[in-house]
Order: sequence, then structure tokens, then C-alpha cells
Amino acid sequence: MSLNQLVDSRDVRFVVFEMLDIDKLKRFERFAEFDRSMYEDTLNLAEKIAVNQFYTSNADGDKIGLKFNTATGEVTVPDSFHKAFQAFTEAGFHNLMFPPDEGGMGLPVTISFASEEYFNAGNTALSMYCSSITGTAHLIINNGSAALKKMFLPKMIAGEWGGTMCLTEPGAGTDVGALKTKAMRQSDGTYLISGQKIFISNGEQDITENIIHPVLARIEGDPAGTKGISIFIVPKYLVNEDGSLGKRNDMICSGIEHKMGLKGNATSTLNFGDNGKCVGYLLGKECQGMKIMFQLMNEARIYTGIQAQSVSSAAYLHAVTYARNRIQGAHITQMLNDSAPKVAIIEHPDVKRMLLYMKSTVEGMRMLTLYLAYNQDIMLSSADAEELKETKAVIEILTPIVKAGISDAAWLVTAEAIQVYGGYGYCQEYPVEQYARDSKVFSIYEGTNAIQSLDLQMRKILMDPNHYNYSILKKRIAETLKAAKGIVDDKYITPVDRGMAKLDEVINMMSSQMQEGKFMALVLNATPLQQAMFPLVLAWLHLWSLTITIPKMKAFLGDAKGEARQKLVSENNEAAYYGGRVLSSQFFIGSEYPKYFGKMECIMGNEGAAIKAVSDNFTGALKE
Amino acid sequence: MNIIACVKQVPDTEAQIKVKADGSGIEEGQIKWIMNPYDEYGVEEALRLKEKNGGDVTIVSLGPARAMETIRTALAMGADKGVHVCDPALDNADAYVTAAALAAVIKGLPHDIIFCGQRAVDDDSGQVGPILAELLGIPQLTIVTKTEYAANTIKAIRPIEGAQLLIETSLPCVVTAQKGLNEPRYASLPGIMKAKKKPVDVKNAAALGIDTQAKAKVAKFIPPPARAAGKIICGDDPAQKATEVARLLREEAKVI
Repeated sequence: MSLNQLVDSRDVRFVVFEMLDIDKLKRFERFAEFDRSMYEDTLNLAEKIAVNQFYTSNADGDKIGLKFNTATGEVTVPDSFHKAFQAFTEAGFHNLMFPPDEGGMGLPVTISFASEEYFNAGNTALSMYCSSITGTAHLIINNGSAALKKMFLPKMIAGEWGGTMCLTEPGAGTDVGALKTKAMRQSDGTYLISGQKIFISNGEQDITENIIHPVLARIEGDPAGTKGISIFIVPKYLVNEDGSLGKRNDMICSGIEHKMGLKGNATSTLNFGDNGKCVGYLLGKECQGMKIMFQLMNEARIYTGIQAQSVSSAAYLHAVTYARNRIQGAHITQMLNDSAPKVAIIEHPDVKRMLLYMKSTVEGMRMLTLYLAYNQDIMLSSADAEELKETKAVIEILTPIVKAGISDAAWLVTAEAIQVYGGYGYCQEYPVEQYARDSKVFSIYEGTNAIQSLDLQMRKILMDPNHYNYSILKKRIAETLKAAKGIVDDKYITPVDRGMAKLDEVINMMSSQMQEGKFMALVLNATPLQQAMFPLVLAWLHLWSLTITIPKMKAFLGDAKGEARQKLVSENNEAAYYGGRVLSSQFFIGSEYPKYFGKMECIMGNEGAAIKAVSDNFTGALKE
Repeated sequence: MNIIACVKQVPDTEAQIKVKADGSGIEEGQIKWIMNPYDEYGVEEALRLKEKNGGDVTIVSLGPARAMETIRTALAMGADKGVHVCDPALDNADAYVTAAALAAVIKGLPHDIIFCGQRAVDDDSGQVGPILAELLGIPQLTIVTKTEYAANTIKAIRPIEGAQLLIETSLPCVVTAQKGLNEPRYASLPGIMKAKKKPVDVKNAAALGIDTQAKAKVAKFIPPPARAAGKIICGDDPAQKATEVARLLREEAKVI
């Protein structure tokens, strides 16, 4: 655990060991053997590889970028990516949470997410190649026949073959059911795949010798829409009986996108079966494609939240170090004194405000993703039906908030980092503008945030029988409110309590709108609801953390004030940490979260302008 | 082959070192501890030798309880077992006592080759490896950047000013590793798991039968003086300013 430019390692420890108290997972047999030192060693190793190999190759992805060979359809990644990828897979991070009998480590999802933050903060474009193995292999582990597992898993577990996830087509983006890729049954049980997929992350690269594509396609004659979709495993190179690399499959990368950010990751157009010979292997049963792919899509949504959190973390820590070292202007209380010494900009109140906004948001993101991970660990381990039901509800309702809430916030946090750097932040010579560009896609891919919001509002809340998911979220928040009494000042408890009452009001209103068939009014409030629930959830988590950090802070600082307090904070890292964590939570609940009530007012207002507005009202723009 | 690698736990090179108010040592509470980087080259070299020739690698370390983390790190990289010399009486061990403790352990183990870092980055004495070789009565190849092994002999390159020495000796011997010898591997997750189950023998001074009395005593730890404020030379005439710089360098700084 060192100081580094990517992740506040002390804060990761706080969330994992003090807030979530991961030792409690020992009650499950699969985690009984693990202890804190095992987790520490894992996190330390992730930090070391991320700092030494990922962070050092991040600018290469952006500035050197990818080379696409139009003749061969091959993509070359920057040299530095190879070594970093190798360090990642040799250490075994792609297998971290797989069960030991599949060749994995069987570590908790919580530790996996915490490790991923380091890698994605270091180089998120590269991390995607790494995690593509995990996602695709996991799909095969859960759904593949013995034959498919034997054909693909050993090399994927060894980190030698990469993966992808092929859904999108030119005419089928958000509307997956409109896809045109076809599959034809062959007498040997395989299928011939033909069609084109676009925007495929990790779609082509020269890091791994083979790439295993899970591809959605419709078997000829199957029904239209999502219910007629099947899923196939389509390798770039076919695999021989003995597991070695066979001949090239009839699929090729016909181009890569030139993007605003994430330039080190190949967003590929893939042509399957241009010569009618692309072999695919059915995964699961026919017409189960969407159901199976949903596993990977869900994982990808959560992973997107982690990416967004990680890039925000790196942007925030860079901004702090810059603000500590950039001398500009005298302190504002000395502004009329010409001979006053110039100070580091971190002394300026507005810069401190920006940094506290970033700190409290990043720490909130971290608590949210790790809390979700912790619940996944319980879901994958518990035998208690009631516990499983509750845990599933928490995961269901928080998943769209993790994806959409964190990705929206990442764009704002990385923009704030540029602001702290001033003009230099806007220049490519400094690293923060890359973080902003890299982060923008997180609100778009893996299901746009509008889709996430509809998922949250409709599927996860309003259409959920008896609003069970929502009731469990409320129960968890109520537990925190109760625990906070007597430890945390009411000033920070009451707003969260009041926010819950407000949310009840809004959900009741939406339920009535649904019964009354006011569908347009309802869906117009999907995104506002998601954007309000994100700060509410973060305020809850900050309140939870205050119940731990306040007693700790008091133990270090007592009632010390002014210079005496400053002395304690500067001499003791732990005092500085807990003191800072308390201020961060207070800032969030006191200064950031109250905007929630304005958002809720907007929802309750049910402004109908967007329903009435028609295309012709948007005057001033060209027709085409 | 029986290969030994000696390691020391030292403060992270990034750590901010604070000297205790009474000058008796450094504040340890807030320090992150790591394996001495030069020892890491030694461990890597030991593992490569094992991978080439077979045999096993034993890690030996002297230090307080926390030094066990560093032994585990080396085991997670691939070493087979460890010996931890842990005794409060050895907390202020100097280079001689440290080497004596390591020698006492190693005498009881079969050893064909012993790797040490060429020095530790905390006290920078560079003496433990050489004293260890003397106490064991075997040859030493110090500050080595390249090695080549044959049956029962080793050739090594040692950089000296403006040239390189090629030295050859018979085994057993002590080799002290210099930066450039290799690029140490990362531990792996399976390695970390296996390391938990690898045996580490903990020994105290009495068990080793060594005299814990240090031959050198650290009188006081003194932090380096705080950097004095710089001086800005004002004026409009560059020639005049240059003359002033020259004068200050000569008369005040006395460097020219």
C-alpha cells in the first residue's frame, strides 16, 4: 500500500476492511481460508502492476494509438501494452474470482473489483483487453457444453486467448432485437454465421494469438425480435482437436473507429462469413441468446461503472498533486497585501471546494461499487433463501445506478480535474484531458444511460412485484439511519431521512401514473429519477461511513482545534485520513446531496413541455 | 542445487522518513515496508538458477515480526521455504551481528550459493554480504550485474570505474546483487496462495548461539538539514547579475 497517482489505497482498505468488514465473508466455506494478509497481498500486487505497467503505458494508447492494416484486417497495439498485459495475466488477475475447479483463485468479487480499480485507473483501454478474457470465459464456464469448455477454456484461463462481446449491428444498437446476423445449421452440429457487427470493443488486437467472440445471431426460421436470438462462440482461429491453433475462421476486422477517447482499445467492425465459411458453436440452447448474453451484459454494465470510478480516481489524485504544487496568487484573505507570499492553489477556497467535490464523489463511487460486489459475494455463497432474495434485490436496484450514476459523474469529475489544472489541463502535455475524453463513452456504451434509467425506473422499481427491490433498499438505508443516531450529528442524518420520504412520494406518484397510463410523463422522468437516486445512494453510503470515521477521528484528534489540530493531522497519516474522510462525507451530505431535493421537485412538477415538443419546434436547425 | 537468498525488510523508497524526537531511530508507525530492492534482484537470480538447474530456494531474513511479510513476498515469487530470525535482542543489530545471525542459520543448511543484495537501501552499509562470506569461509562476488553458471563454478561481471571485471570462483560462494542483474518478476496470485502454506522456521538468537552485542553503535539519528531558502538576484543588467552570481559562488558558497 503506497502513495500512488491512481487510487487512494488507504481508502480502498477503509471500504473493504472497515466498512464492509470483508472478514465476515469467512462464514462461507469458500472464503474460510482467506485472511486479511491474502487480500492485502492481492491488492498490493494489483497496485504494483498497475502503477509500474499500466499507468506507464496509458499515454501510449492515446498518443501512439492503434495501427490498422487494411490488407490483413489486423490491429497493432502500442508495444508497451504487451508487457503490461503479460504482467496482468501471469499474475492471474483475469482468473481472480473464478472457482478453483475452473482454474481460478476463488477470491471474493469485492477483492476483484478493488483490484480492477487500480488497473482501470492505470490504463482503462488496456484493462478492457484484460477483462475481456474474464467476461467471455465466464460466459463459457456458466453456459458451455463440456466440449466447448474443453475447446476454449484452457487457453483463456492461461491468459493466452482474448474475448469480446458482439451485439451491436449498424441497424441494431439499443434495439438489439433488430439484428440481422444469421446462423445456418450444419450437419456436424456447428453453425455458419454471416453478418456484420460494429462497435466491438477488443474486437481485434495483436496481444493474444486468438480471440473468442460470443456473437448474437438469429438461426434461419427463428422468430423476429429478441426471443428469436441465439448466441454462438466464434473464434478468430478455429481450434484443433489437441487444443492447438487451427486455420483462420472466415471472419475479419474490416475497420476500427477513430474515437474521442479510449484510443488504445480497438472498437472494431467485424465481418462474419464474407466467404460463407464462418464457423460458430452454439452456446446453451437455441433462442436463449439474450438470456445468456444478459449475464455478460450485466457484468459489462457493472464493469463500466468501475471504469468510470477508476478514471475519476486517477483524475482526482492528479488534480490534488497539481494543486499542491502550483503556486499562484496570494491567499484570498491577503488579496490587498501586495507583499503577501504566493500560495499553492490548494489554499484557495474554491480549489478546495473542487477537490472536496471530487474526493467525496470518488469515495462515494468506491463505496457503491464495493458494496455491490460484497452483495454479489453473498449471492454467490449463501444458502439462506431469505438472504439470497434480499441480496439479489439490492444488486438489481443498484446495478443501473452503478452504471449510469457513476458514468455520468465521471464526466463531471474528470472535467473538474481539468478545471483545477486551468489552461494546462486543456493541453495534451498534461494527463487530465485524456481522462475526460476516455470517460465520455461510459455513459454511452453497454446500454446508454437512458436505457439504464428506464431499467431502474420500470423493471427494477415500478414493475417489480410489491416494489420488493425498492423496499429492501429502503430497509438497508433505514439500518444506516438508525446506526448513525448518537454518533453522527443530526445535521447529516435528517437530510437522508427526509430524502427517503421524498423518494417514497415520487415512487407513489409514478405508480399512479403507471396505473393511469400516463406513460409519456412517466418515461420522461426516468433519467431524472436515476440522476436523483445516485446522490441519494451516495449520501446514504457517506452517512454509513461517518458512523465509523467519526469515532476514529475523535480518537486521533480529540477536541483539538486550529493549530493544534493541524499539527496532529500533519504528523499522523491516520489522523489526516480519518479527518479528511469525515470532511469528505460532510461535504457530500451538506453541499452536494441537497441538490437532490431540487431534482425531486423537477420530477414532481411533471413539466409536460418535452411531451408537447415536436420535431418542428426545434427551429433554426437544418432539416437534413 | 541448494540456493539461499537473504532478504531485508526496509522502508519503501517513497516513504517520508521522520526521525524520532530523541534521535534514537526513525518513526516506524506510518512507514510502508518493502523488500530491499537489491535483495529482490538476488531472489530473482536465485529463482532463475533454480528454474535452470533444479533444487530449492530458501529465504533467510533477520528482522522484527513484520519482516515475515517480506519473506512471504519472496515465497510468493516462487521461493520454497524460509527462515526468520526474530528476536528483540537483535533489534539494533549492526552489519556484523546481522551477518553472524545469517551465517549461523546458513551453516545449518546445505548451501551451494548464497545471494544477498549489494547493500540495503536503509542504512547503506554494504557490509553484510562480505562479512557473511568471511564468517562462512567461502568466496564472495560482490556488486554483480551478470552471472554465468557451470558445474560447481560461477562467472560474474562486476562493473568498476570505466571497465568491467570478469571474476570466476568455485561454489559455494556469496553473490551480492547490483541493479541491472535482472528484472525481478511480480508475485502471482497462485504464488501468494501457495506462499501461505510454505514452511517458515522462526529462530531466536539463543537457538542460533550468537552474540547479540553489536560492534558498532549508532549514536544518534539526525535528519538532513532543511533546505535553506533560495536567493533571487535582482537587477536589469544580465552582466551585472552574472558577476553577482560569480561573487556569491566564490565568497559565500565557496565552490569556485
